[in-house]
Amino acid sequence: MFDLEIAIADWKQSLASLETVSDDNVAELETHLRECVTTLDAMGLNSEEAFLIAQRRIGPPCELDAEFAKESSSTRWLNRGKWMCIGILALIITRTTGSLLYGIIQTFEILPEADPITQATIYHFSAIAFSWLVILFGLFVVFRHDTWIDRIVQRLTRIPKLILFGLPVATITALVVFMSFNILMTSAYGRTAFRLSSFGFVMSPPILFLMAFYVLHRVERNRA
Amino acid sequence: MSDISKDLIAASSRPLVLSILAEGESYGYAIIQEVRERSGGQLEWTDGMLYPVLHRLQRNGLITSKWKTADTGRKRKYYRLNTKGKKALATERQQWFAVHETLAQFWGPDPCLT
Repeated sequence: MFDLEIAIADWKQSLASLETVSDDNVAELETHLRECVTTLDAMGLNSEEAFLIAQRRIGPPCELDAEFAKESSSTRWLNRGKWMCIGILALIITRTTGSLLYGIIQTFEILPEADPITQATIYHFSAIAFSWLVILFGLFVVFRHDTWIDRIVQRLTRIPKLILFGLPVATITALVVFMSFNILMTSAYGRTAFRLSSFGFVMSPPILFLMAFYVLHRVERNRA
Repeated sequence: MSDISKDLIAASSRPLVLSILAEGESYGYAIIQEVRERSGGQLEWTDGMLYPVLHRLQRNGLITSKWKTADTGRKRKYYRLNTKGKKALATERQQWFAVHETLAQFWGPDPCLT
């Protein structure tokens, strides 16, 4: 049995996975598709026929991608930049929650018998899990859509983008931060100076990347 | 008559969209319908192609857009021509008439067969 809502959700998903098509564009194209289906319905076609024709009139996703890319080649990089920011933010959240959890475990001696390796494993895994939860929640809030299922599916289609652009950048950042941290540790400065600089290290990147993400998101919105 | 070439459709999309919006604010689906109707079906656009055109016009500052809820409860993005857009349309008009007049000198006026 043909379900129009499922068909539309699938179709939206294929559009959302295109790099050049923003969420706003998807919403606009969805309205167009629905208007077209309504008109064809009124002409006596059943919903499956109406959907197939409407979809064909709008054009195949690959063609749309090419057309939208012509409109603005920088949209691609805006989008990638956003995912890079998300990757770095994920890294920051992981580190922060990780050290927090580690601190809690040590302070309250939750696992007194556990060897350091077990403790470290728990610390890393819980941090990673937590950060993913935070990111997914953030994405849900930022990109609001109509139905729950729709939202979850749409978010999932974006994971390849995170892996492609977010994680490499996060890894490189982690390496750079780790190296500069080592240099700081071995420097001859006093304790206060060291504490102040680490405070700066912890505080500034999240604010910076959140701002960067926000700016990129706004720019993308305004272009659409 | 054979289909109008893709290049010609692409080139005429800008003045067409501007002309339609000059008659009042409108949204994607209605614009496509209008094009189809006015051209008597001779201009067959792939519907999706319209949106990059609209977005480019907006980026160039010729039109503005706003999401509105229609009476049917459906949310539509309406586009509206602004002052800069009206000027751009006047320029387009001059240019297209210049092309048309030149061609008409070679071909003569369109014979009316009816």
